Amino acid sequence: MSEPIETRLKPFNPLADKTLALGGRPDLFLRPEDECARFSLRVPVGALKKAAVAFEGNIPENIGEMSVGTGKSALCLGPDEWLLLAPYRDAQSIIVRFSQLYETAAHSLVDVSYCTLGIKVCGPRARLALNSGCPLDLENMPAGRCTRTVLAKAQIILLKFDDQHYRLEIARSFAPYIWEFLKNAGKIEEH
Amino acid sequence: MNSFRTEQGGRLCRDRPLGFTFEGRTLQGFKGDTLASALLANGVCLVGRSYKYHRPRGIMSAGSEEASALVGIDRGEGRFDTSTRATTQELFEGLKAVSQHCWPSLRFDAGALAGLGGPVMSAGFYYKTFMWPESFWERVYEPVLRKLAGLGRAPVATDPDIYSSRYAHCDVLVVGGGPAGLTAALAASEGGAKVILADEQSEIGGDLLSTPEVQIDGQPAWNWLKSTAQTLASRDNVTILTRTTAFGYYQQNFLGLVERLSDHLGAARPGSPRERLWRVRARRVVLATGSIERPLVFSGNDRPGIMLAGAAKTYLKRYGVRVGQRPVVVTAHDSAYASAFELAEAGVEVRTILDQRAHIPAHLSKRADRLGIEILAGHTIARTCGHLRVSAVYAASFDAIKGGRKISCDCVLMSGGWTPSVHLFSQSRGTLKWREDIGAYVPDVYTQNAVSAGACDGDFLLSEALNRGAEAGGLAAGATGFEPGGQNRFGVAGEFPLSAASLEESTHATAAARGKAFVDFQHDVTAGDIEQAVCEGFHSIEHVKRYTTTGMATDQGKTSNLNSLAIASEALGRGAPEVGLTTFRPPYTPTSFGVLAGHSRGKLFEVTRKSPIDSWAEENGAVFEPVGLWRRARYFPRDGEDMHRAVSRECKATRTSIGISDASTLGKIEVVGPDAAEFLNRLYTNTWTKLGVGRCRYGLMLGEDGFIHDDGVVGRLAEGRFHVTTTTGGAAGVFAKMEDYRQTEWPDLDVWLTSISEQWAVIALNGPNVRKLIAPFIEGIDLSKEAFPHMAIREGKIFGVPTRLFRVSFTGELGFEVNVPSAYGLAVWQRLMEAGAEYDIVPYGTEALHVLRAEKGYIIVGQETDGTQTPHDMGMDWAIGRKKPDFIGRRSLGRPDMLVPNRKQLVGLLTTDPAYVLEEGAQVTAENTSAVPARMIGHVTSSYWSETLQRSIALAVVEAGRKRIGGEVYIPMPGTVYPARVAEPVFYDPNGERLNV
Repeated sequence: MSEPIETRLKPFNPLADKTLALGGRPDLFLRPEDECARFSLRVPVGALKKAAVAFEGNIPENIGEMSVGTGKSALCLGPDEWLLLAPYRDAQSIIVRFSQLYETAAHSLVDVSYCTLGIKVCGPRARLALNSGCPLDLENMPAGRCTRTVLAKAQIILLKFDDQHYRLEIARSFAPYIWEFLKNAGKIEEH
Repeated sequence: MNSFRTEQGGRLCRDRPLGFTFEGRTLQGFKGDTLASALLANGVCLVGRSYKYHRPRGIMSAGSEEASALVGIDRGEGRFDTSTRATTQELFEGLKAVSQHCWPSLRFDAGALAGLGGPVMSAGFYYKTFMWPESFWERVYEPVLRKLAGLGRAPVATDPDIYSSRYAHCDVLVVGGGPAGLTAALAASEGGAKVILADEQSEIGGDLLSTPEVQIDGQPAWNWLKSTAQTLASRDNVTILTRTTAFGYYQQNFLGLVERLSDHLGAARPGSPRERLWRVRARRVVLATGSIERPLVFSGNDRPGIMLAGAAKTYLKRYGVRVGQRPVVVTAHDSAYASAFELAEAGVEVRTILDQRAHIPAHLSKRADRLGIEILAGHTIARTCGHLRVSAVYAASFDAIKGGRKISCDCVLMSGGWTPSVHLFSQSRGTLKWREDIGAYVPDVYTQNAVSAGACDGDFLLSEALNRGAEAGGLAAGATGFEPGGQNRFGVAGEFPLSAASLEESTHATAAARGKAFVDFQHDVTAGDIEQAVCEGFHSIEHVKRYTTTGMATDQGKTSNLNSLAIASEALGRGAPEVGLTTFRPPYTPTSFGVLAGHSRGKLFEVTRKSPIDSWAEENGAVFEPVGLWRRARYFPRDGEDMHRAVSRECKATRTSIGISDASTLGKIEVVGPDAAEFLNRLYTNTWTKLGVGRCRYGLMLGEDGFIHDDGVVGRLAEGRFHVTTTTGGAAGVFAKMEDYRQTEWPDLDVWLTSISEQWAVIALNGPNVRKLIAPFIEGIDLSKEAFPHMAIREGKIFGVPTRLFRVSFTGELGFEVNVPSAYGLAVWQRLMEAGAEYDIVPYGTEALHVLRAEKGYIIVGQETDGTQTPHDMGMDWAIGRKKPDFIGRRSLGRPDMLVPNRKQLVGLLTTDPAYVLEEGAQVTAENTSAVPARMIGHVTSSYWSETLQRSIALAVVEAGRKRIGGEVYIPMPGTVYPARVAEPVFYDPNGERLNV
């Protein structure tokens, strides 16, 4: 059901059309990430290789690791928990292949495409804005890592691509709050 | 300028004069002054009135320990700060300061008359004096006391400033930028460790700022300080934070720091923050927090002009201010001599030093002789004279304390020794040990990765502080994996040598003290109060503290705690370590609410979660109510309707045609895995293994205590896949509970949980015409009664959008809940509203929902239940799977108390007057009486006007309620008792015929 929905109905995104650029370079740049299909995968580590075959993409084994491919990404968030990201066009085939896998390897694949929204956070002030509300040591977090954490009063999933480029996954109903928080923090930390 | 300001010296910018006002009087100081130093330079000695007795008070210290000189600082609208310490407020052009605790004026204060009442306001006075008559407290005592006590003036305008907040991490956090902190930071950062150095003052240096006369490694102290500051600033791995107070030390080396960014400038620049909260996680902490001088406790020790001896030296050396022309020094410790000698050499006429000790070190008496200063050994001050400034003291030996020789003076410098500042160490849960030689507590056992160095560790000499600091910094670098620095030793010349005084010697004075001999200057607690508390049986220092309020003011007893302890221990005849020490708590110094709130104000005060359909509700005039963090539409008023009329209309439309409601905020959990059914079996009271695929069941979840915890409908999508719904408010808790049991109790089950609350928007459609409305837009689902019965779930499409379609009802009407991906919730809602126009579709909110479900007797967890109701109490035995071996709460249901016949049970109430709607929460009695006391047998849980039934209805929990059905109960309200008939809790369509169509 995560195929691009063929209907004349318009999807609603509370962050749609928003961008934020603060400072010259800009120092802080926020934009909603492109929509995509998302799956929460719960599977015993022993069956991870089979799961990767079903996903047709790499799935990292250790907590905090992520594999970012062209189109498909996999984030290891817990001992048996992954978040899979994929283009909408691949969603239906992923569902089908995993349902076939269920016969031989018990697991849980749940469509969470619309649970969260993605925000791209980048620029030289990105870390400072995030550290206004996130207690992690983002400076020493290696690039290419991900984690579930908090930002101000919301739970988020944070992906670090490099020191000036992050992606946040935030539950839809918290997303406008987080946007506002980062905007506010970005402005205050200018000084 | 005047005789108080020196001609040169100090760290002032004498080419930068600054104008300011105090009590409306225009005065001048220099950049580099504090408000206190500028006032003293202007000869202003009287700064405020004391808290309880309204006694005239001056400046007693030169730092953040100040307990006397508290003023209001006015930076403009909304920027009035109360109880600011004049000793820490830096001077800026146009600063406006006012005194506090005084009425009608600073020089003449009516409240000072309270001082005449003496014994009336003694220790524990508020426990004794204002107890009767009881009614006087609210009307007389409290208002009068508030007026007199006047804890400063609370701001009323909104704080216009903004506050920054930041998490930071470092290898080594050094707290305190005095000699020990500086060398610690140098050594720690040498090998590349990331170091944060925080100091509360406007510049780093600590005590070095007051001791330019010493030489460090052959350089004058201030030159050494300058080059050290430059070295630190040049290192990229060092962050120096001045005007920054480490106010709290929490678990795992987590410390709170407040950096004051603009208070020294007046107002902040527009858009820039006033203060910044640093939440620092440090791998290792070096505490170099210094020490605080203790006052001596003698009669009249609070008159303006009486201050700590060390402070007088600081004012002279750092601020270029002579605190008086004719000081008398009274001391129990060598360090006061340093102040006396420095002042004498600066041309101040120091006549007399009263030393409480019998034996004076020879080098001190020799130097005093040379300077023409008389020393009276074994003497102290018996009492002082002077109204708004001290004018004379009576010097007396301890055996002739009543008499004494009068010595005129214009200021008194006192020293009772030094107290290591162990506040942060103590907050870190480290334990202290008593050091008899310095009469104070020092750090003993560390519980966190920290070390203390310098005066806060009991090492008062500069040379010790420098070298211990370097050692501590070097070790900190080593401990965090860096090359340890700090191998070099520092050589110090010209330092004033110290031979420590013991606490015992200074307590002679306190034992002799009579009259107003103050211990806690901010809370006006005297030595007599402490002794009285001990006499009245308070033997623990924690009890003495609470009874007398000593150490409980905003200064947290920085200058008073050890003196209180000494007096209490002497009165008890026990040693200080036996009497103990009160607990130190954050914040170290007063911290603004603004900086603690940080970003959480205005739009960011709290998260407001909005459903995907919220924008439609808002555009259509919905009135909202908060449900947890969510806001939900409560009702949709039309044409000026009030709630009652809107809700009646919404209910009627739902019963007669179609009501539409946004149920997106319900919690949803997808439970997947081969053992999913078994997992639910153990979690809920109901049986799940026999539930067919495509069917739904109402599930009831108990706590281990057997009481109802949550409920919701569960649909079986496949053999190993369930769609669980929870209440809106219970979503997070239920998910956490499920995950807890899954991981810790039943790790053997192959089952996983995923929150899908935000994946699905939920549109609840209820009413006889619902099937007709949706039929044209549904693909892939047979909607007929036979193919899709009540309590079933199907997957298909609506308007081309994938849907999980539930046939369920919380209203008693034919009902469907349309689940669509949340991005499409709004669009599907809009289409249904358009198509529904034909059936006069009406949106309804939570209020109508509550009425509709109450008409059917459906409970709301948290409204009919309060955490003490079993399924049986709610008449829901049918929900319990009797044949199941176990489920959460099963064992508790068999406890004797759960089976007693008079438990409160859910019933309906129908008032005799059908127009009267009972108050929710009203008590129920069996007797028709309003006499008090009456035995309460239950209470009303829900009560509404039912438009459908054209009368009021109510649900209630009543003792043995089901046996009372048909009988009468009474609801006493002010002035009237309302009789009501006890009824079945289902008021409408009891056979459920409207559901099964």
